[in-house]
Amino acid sequence: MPQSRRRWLAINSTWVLVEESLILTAHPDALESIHAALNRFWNQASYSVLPLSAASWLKFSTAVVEIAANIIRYAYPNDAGELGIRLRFYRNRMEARLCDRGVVFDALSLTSRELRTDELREGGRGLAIARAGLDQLRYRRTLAGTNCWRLVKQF
Amino acid sequence: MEIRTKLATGIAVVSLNGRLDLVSAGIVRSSLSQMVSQGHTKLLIDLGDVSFVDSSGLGALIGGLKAARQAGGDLRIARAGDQARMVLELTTLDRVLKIYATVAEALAGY
Repeated sequence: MPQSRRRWLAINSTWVLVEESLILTAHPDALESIHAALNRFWNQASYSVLPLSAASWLKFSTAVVEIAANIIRYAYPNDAGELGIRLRFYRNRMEARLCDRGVVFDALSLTSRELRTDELREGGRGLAIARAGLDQLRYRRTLAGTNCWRLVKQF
Repeated sequence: MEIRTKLATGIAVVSLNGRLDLVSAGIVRSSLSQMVSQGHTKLLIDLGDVSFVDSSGLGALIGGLKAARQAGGDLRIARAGDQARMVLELTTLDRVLKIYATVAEALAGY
């Protein structure tokens, strides 16, 4: 077995190889910073030995922006609030965690626009795009009143 | 988001520059509506300088498409980048919208 392959296999899949974190005000202006962070994150990863795929990255980064945009639009209807984003590359996958302290995301009360399926609907595609591009999309509400989304894309 | 329009043989070529997302979707949507109501019902959206398209951006394009078709015209896409093509494929909108590799091909095929 070649040396490099042995070294690669020795990297535990729980090790964080690249990380980028930021806390922002949940406002459309934050999207500029989010795209900048995603670019930095991707550039850092390109210096590593990770088997990166541009196609996977496009799906993952788009999913991050879709979830962030959802939080920006809906989490804080009455006032300003924060959005925390953490991006990580592991040996075999990329993960994003997005958290906010806003209103609960109630999947069961999706508005009619999200549930419409006609091809030419103008809204309601954000979550579908995120879900379709990822291997895992999870949401949970903590007892402390935090919403957290976890996005995972395997290499 | 910069929006520039050129008229070419009955087709309005709309060149967008920047991200087509939550921030710019509204202005793009109203721009396209305005063009249709001014009689430019054949729209060609040049996405060559669009670095990113999200669901809001798609909504603006679909809105423009509906307005154009209702007025007897159409909305087509040229020069979609990798990320734009990815979201169009993921949402199967690539079957609803005609997408061309170049503006020249789009004008010829319209």
